[in-house]
Amino acid sequence: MPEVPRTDAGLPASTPAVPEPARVEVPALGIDVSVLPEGIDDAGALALPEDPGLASWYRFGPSPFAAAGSAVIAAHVDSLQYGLGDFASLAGAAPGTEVVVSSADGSTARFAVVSVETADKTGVPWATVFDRTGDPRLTLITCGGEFDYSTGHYLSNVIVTAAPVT
Amino acid sequence: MHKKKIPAAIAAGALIALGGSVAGALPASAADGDAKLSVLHAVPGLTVDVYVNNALTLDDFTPGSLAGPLDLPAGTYSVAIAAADAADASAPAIGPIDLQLAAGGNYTAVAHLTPAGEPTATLYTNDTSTLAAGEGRLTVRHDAAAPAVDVLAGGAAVVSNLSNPDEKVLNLPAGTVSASVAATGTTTPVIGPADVNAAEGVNTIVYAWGSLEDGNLALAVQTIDGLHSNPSGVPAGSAGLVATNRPADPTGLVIGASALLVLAAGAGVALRRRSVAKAAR
Repeated sequence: MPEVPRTDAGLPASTPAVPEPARVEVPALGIDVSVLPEGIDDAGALALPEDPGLASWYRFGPSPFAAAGSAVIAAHVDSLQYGLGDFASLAGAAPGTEVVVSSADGSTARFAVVSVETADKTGVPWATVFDRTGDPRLTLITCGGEFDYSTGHYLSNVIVTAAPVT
Repeated sequence: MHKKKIPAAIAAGALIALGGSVAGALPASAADGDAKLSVLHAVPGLTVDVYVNNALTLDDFTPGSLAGPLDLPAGTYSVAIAAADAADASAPAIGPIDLQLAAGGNYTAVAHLTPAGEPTATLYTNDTSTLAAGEGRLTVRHDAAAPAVDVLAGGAAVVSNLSNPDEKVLNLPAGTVSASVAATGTTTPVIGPADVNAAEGVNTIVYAWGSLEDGNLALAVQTIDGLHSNPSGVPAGSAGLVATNRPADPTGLVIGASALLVLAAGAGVALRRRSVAKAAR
């Protein structure tokens, strides 16, 4: 039986925060977008800026600079107002493609694409996508596949998983 | 450490006895269905030893400390808290009290003062139900020698008339709350204001402890994480510009399609306006 762990229960001093992502680039695909910390929209989905030129980082999950878990950064693929977004080219990412995430303080984290999948939105394993544990990884998400012109929504998500490059 | 410091092996033996069984050993890892028990020492000025089923389990446990969580088989445990210089649990300062721990339950046993300032102990059941994405849980527990209190956030009472040893549980949008504690019906803080981070997916349990009369009221915090749920989706496109089922594009250029769509959208609006005008005639 290990010693019972003990902690001081006083109000915690603010702990040094893990850097937050401010920009994501995929040079080979011409992707270069600013990243905003976002939470949940009114429907319980990940909140996204309307402008597909701005990406959303799920701020309740891991940061790309964290030691564990899946950091999720997503952006609209397109919008009627703004046209096509940078993330439209994600679907064509080849394995090994470099992804660079920068924080506001200038630190960078480098990743390499491991997989690209287009998954029907009804079948995306969100618990895996938003997993806060396990190996550190970056998950880039946008929309793709068929479009439902009656509802104005894509039927699939394009999900790119990238692993840290040391 | 003094003479009562106990080797780990003996501590393990003591904990085996917790289950009321003398055979076998505690599993190396928690078994499914085990209860989780944390212990908070919230009696000011008294370093204690905590005995569970007469076995010394926490040696020289100091005020303001939180121990655990321990994974324990479901069952009833007898807990006695003695002054740290006592030889055994025969004349405890608190207890012995029986703690009934259900399988899968999450508990905190708190040694604290009654409203009149006498040492006592309370077993709380911690709410570990799953939170909605984006929410945190704030649990407030009154374990201080003080009358009923209000908990104020941003100047308004979010918890009213909370008496020792009661608790109040709130689910709220995750974020930092500037909280203070005041006598019920008043707004002059007796504790705080202090920033409390009600983090997403976490039950943040705040204890008011100490004694109003002795001027040593304080807050203690325990957190239970992993209660989050995930966003329900990522709705990340609304124009169909890269749809695999988009109508044949004569220009062969996606950007052209974008312009066409915007034109079409504009035309659509114009057409609708015209038909509305027509209908109005």
